[in-house]
Amino acid sequence: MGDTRRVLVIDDELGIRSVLAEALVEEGWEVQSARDGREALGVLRAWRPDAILLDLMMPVMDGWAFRKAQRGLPDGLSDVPLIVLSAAREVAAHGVALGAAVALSKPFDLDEVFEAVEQVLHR
Amino acid sequence: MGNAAPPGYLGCLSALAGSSFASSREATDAVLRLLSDQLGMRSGFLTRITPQQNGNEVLAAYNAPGGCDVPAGALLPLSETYCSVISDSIDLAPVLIEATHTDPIFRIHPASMASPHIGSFIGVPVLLSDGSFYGTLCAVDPEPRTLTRHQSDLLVVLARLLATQIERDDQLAERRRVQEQLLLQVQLIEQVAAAVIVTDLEGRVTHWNQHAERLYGWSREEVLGGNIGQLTVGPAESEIATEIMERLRAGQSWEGEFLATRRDGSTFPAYVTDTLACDADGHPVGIVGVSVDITERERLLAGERTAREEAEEALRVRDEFLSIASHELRNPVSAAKGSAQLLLRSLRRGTPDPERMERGLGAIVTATDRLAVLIDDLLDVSRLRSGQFPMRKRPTDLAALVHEEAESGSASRGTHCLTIEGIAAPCIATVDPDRFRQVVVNLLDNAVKYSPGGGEVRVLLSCEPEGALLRVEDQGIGLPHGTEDRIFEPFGRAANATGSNLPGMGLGLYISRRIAEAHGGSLRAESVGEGRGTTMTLRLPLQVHHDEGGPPDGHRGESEGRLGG
Repeated sequence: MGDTRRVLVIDDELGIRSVLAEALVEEGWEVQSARDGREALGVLRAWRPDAILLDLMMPVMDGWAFRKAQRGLPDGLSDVPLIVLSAAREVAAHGVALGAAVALSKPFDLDEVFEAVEQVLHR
Repeated sequence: MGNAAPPGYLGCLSALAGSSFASSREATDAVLRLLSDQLGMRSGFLTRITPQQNGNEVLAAYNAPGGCDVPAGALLPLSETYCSVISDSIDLAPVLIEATHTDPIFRIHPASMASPHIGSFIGVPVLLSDGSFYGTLCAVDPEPRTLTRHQSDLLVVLARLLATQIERDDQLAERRRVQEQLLLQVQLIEQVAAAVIVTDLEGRVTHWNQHAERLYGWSREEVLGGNIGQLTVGPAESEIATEIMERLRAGQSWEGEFLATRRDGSTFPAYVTDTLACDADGHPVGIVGVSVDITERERLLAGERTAREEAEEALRVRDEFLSIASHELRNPVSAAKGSAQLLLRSLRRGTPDPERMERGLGAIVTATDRLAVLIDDLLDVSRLRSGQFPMRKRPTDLAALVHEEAESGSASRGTHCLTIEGIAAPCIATVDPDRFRQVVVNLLDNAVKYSPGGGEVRVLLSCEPEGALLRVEDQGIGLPHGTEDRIFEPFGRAANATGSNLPGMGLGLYISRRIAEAHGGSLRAESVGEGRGTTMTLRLPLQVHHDEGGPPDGHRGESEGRLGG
């Protein structure tokens, strides 16, 4: 609503989801989370974030499959910028391949995450 | 003297004509003797002349007593002999010198100086059938002699005779040499470790070496004259065979792999080289085919290919394992770090909230605990794979161990109802107690973890002399059909497990099964279907007894234990 900036956190690890959610909410962002790509698509049906924090290696629907699905979403949802956050090697390369705005490796630094989200939201 | 030949000449010639000699040498010697007798000259010679070397070689000699005594084999300087007069003359005419030392021309000839013992000389050239100058047939005497035209005529006739003989001898020698070479080549071809097959231009076999017999199964007698196409070409290769004939007809050779057919119809891969054989004028006279059996080579290559594929697959599997492992490790690290950073921020802001601190620190502990388990599991897997998984087996009471774990288990079993059977009497088997405990804990934890809705967990330990059996049943999410084996692979969690977001890396069952196998036993999973629970069965076919030296079947009762509520 209005000025509140929204972030969708997609990660299969509960500990990471809660840390990120708590940190972002503290900074004044509105946060929703999903544990895999499929759940995330469900969230996107009713809620439009300004940025997506995306883990790559997840069961059920991984980050790559989610990205592919996202491209086919309507109403500009396909253009919601991605911040890739992954334990995979070559995160940067994956980030580029996925067309992400930023790519961060795990374990991440909270400050880096904030910076990335700010950067993306101020495009 | 008239123009008629002296009567003795005819006799001499007919005597020669009628004789048969054991060797050319004998014949030559006979000719020289006859010559010497007829001419009244006491020495007769056949010489070979090599003008470039100034050489005059006495090939054969007849020296009557009182003759000039020049032996066969003597090599004289041509220029110092009267033979040079023959070789120097343009028309190669006979040379007659009746008195060498008083003749106005010849007395100053170098030969007169070099051979003072020669008083008279008569000689004619020996000419071969192609007109080339071979040497001389000559007769000499220490005394001067009267020499006539008839005498030189006789010499000419005899020289022709000797020339024919010389040529025939040369031909024989050449033929023998060629035959020897051929024999050597044939032997070489026979010994070559490749099939060498020679055919005429129509493909009829003219040569079939030993290796060909071995390779194709046809003996030489069977194939000579037969058509190569019908012998070694099967229907599969008829196209290539046509191509080969075309190339050969075009004057080219063909080289390549060919599926050859043996006499018994079986085939083998061969490497074949077919070339045209041409005569001295370059006309094709036949086809030479060399073939080698490359079955071994193919097998080696295939073996290498398989080995390489297996190595690549192993690498791929390992890379995947490492990738997943690193992911599994980084996640809890990330969660712990994130929690710690959050708490630091709130500290710095000066707003430490005890409840938040409690939560955050608790999350760090949980994450690091999980890390510890993961690290242990990974180390176990690593040791299992490198074969360094030491087992310290000793007689262990399995019943007591199962009882212990079931009773004292971790807090996570609080919501379940645990039933244990078969642990009343000791069940002693030789196992590694720590590893066995690891398996029991893994099975119990899984039973609780994968039945999140609660329910009963039944544990049964059965102890027979032939072996022990541990069964753990839960009423949880069960297993989809077909996944009963995959769950034992590293990280091989069934889809329904990962979907419900249950913690765990998926290594526990892999390790447990390997422990079971290291004891000569097995670990299997069964499930009626999704949502219908799972049964894990551990079999240990070990010698089991109920106590040290006690009766084989002791009293076994049932015992129930309830935990939590």
